Amino acid sequence: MGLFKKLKKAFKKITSKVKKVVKKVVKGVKKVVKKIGSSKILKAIAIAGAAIVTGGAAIGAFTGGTATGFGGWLMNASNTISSGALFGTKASGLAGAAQSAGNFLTKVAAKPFASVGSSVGNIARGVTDFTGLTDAAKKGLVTSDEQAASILSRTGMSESDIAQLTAEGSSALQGAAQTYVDTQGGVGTFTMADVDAARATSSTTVASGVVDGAQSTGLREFGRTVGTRVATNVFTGAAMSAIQGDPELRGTTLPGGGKEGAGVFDPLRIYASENNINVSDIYNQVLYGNADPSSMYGSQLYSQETVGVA
Amino acid sequence: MGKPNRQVRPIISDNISEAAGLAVLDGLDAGFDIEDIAPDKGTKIRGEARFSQEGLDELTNLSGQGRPIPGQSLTNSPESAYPWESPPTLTNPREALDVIVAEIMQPEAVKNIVNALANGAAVGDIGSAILYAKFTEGDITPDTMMLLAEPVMYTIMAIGEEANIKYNIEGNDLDEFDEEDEAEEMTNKISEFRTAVSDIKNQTTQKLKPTVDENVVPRNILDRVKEQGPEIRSLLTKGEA
Repeated sequence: MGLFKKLKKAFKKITSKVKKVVKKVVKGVKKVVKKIGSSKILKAIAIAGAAIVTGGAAIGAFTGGTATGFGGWLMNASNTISSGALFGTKASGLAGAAQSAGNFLTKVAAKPFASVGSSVGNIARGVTDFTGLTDAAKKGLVTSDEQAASILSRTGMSESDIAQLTAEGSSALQGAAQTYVDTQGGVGTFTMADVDAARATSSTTVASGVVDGAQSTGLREFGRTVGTRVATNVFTGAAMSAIQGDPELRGTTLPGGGKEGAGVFDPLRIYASENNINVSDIYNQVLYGNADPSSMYGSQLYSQETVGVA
Repeated sequence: MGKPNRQVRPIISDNISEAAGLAVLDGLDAGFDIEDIAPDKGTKIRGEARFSQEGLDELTNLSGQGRPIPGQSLTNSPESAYPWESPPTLTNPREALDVIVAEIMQPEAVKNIVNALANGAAVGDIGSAILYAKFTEGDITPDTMMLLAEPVMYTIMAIGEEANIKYNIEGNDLDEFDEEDEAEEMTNKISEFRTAVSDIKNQTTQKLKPTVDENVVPRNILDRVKEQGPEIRSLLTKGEA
């Protein structure tokens, strides 16, 4: 038997196996959720599976980034990983250093889990509109304060910042959320600095007369303008992203500056050795989920008892 | 709409089906309804595969054309190797997955996938075609191709769900899940019916338990029967020769 025939046969076997696993999972979920059709459970699993594969970008794409229900909840996990705040940030001293190390790891190491993130999110955003499956006019629009607050809360933006935007009024709050949706496809982090940058761009745009000044007085209008621009230039952006690649990580966020030492990667080594994985190849291991492998040991490692110093 | 009462729990698994199942269960546990997770979009488009003799003939003709003679590859110049004979462009499965998923999510590709699913193509077949093409182009190794089968299939399934299509996963299994549901429902109903019949039977038996009046046969006759014991011969017993 030739190589190609063998490959086709092997792939067929895998397809059957995947189907069997899907069936098994559907049955497993069905045991918990009674009186619900298997097709419905299959749909839920397919949606969750795609969210896991694309790091939340699939949900961002299909909902225009305005997902607030289950999709938004799942994307929140993805964004927590991307923002690298899994270990908290408040501790000081040794614990603080350990947290920094952990967060540094999640920023660097978790990247593969969110790497499809915004690029696919942006590319796929217009997909369903393009194919005529959904209505662009009704999708991806932030329409209420509650929805805006929900979207912003999963971007890593602090509660005080959200409260500040709320105090500024509906237009500021919804505008910020709309900008996040339009510029980042509802995936990744978003800070007040981004909001300020958007405001600055908005004023410049208005001043240069590109957009009708009478209609674009607020951030919300800016968001919509950007939305139109993103829709038309999304593929140029994706192409640029592919050409430029991800920004190279230089230096370190650890106290003391300089290049990070090998010790930073110790927790990852522990996880890898426990799971029989070569640490340098850890992200060659195809693992799926909403968390980084290094975070699985995190809570125990940083909360374990240490030798007290008198 | 249900509101979550907590954050997502970390989930890591070496297969997506399990991770997705856990994510759904986690969502339900956190307070979501199944309707929040998989909202109903009305009647689905049936992506039923229809047999076409023309299509089959075309496929037979194509498969018989341009096939290499056994051993032909050995006569090729080593200088002009096939793309899959050189080291692959994407060695890391995760990077390969990113690239392939990004390509699948291109509007033109999604449009074709939606059309194919609506016309009865199976998710497994579309996934295998995509990955096989990537292999023959020299982008991935056969091992990576196998590793990416599941995630690519999930991406295609999600596109199918978003397009509200009732798709085939493998072959023509469109109604398999529904049929299984029906079979399960029927089994449950039969089991319920059997339990009900058994209950009624038990109750009736209990009610109709025979109460023998011991005074029907006179006491002296009963005593005689006891005395005679095994000596009483049946009318059908073989007589002595």
